[in-house]
Amino acid sequence: MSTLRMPLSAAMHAPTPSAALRIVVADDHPLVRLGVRMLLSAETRFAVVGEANSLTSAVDQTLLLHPDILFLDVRMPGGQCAKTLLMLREQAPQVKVIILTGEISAGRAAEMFDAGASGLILKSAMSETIAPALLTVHEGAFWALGRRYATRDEVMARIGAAAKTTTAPVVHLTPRELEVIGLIVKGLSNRDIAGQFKLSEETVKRHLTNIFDKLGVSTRLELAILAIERKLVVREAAN
Amino acid sequence: MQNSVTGPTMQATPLANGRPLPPLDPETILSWRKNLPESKLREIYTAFVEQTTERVSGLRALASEDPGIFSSAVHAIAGSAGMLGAVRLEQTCRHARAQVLAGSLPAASLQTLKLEVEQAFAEVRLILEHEGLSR
Repeated sequence: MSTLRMPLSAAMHAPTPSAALRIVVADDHPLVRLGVRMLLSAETRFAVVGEANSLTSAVDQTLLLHPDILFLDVRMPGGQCAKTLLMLREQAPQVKVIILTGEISAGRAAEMFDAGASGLILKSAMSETIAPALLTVHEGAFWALGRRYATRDEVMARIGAAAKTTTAPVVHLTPRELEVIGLIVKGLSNRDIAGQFKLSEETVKRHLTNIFDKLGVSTRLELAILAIERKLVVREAAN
Repeated sequence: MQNSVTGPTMQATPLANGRPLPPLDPETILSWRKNLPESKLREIYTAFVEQTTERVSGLRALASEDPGIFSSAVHAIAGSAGMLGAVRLEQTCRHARAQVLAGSLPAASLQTLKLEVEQAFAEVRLILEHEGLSR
């Protein structure tokens, strides 16, 4: 894949307000880069000085342009995001990195902060959080889950707590999958579940594979415990 | 919206007990409206429709059923759809990607997934056109 770079001469000599934060946006989706650019161009406090569509070009742009902040898509071609963060921490420690992501597991989010990220923004919340996130990390604080944290330890603790939160389900479960979970909690076998819903056992297995994948569990017992903890099933099903 | 980031998977717009998502999330649109003038808003949604039309066509034309190619294509659609509040399309793509990566799908099911993605995109495109958000 070709890398995307703003022409060096243009990037280095582009007039930016003296107090504006200089930003590089690295995302392999052109539309996301366009979205970031549009949001930031509405404010004189920010200036996008470079763009990249791979990890390699993100590193090149960062080392070349020395931005204040690098927006980095967590899943881009050209390597591993965590390794890139570690490398940038060594070679460009003054550059703050904000991770952009559509979705991320709590474990992966912790890995990013551990490797040196200062912020994390969900793309779906980008329009409302991009400005406060930029200002927060520029001050030396941290940003995740839509709010500011004073220290890396605080943000790591919050992410750890989020992983254990027992609120509503956060993954897309279909009504049928929820029904299957209810019967798993009751201890029914695949054959019993198939009989109850007039499905083949193969179909029940496929539902279970999908459920395991969505919820990140690998056994029926784990599923049952998680379902009860996170209130995925109504009380009647759990009894 | 951000407070929904909990549990083992972080997602911006969760489903509550499998209730269907709307094609467009009104909160996300409102937030973009607050931050961009209407002309810019139309510009970005038009770009979304154009780029996604191309990606969906590419998905339909995929000769290979290579899960890597498929998952990368739907991942790309999901990213921009999520950013602009096309939540049903986003979730359809993420669901399709998860199924393909789980490796338990017969080839015929990939065709079904492609159709689901196409349908979700068609829904949101119609709404955007109706709302005057894309040209």
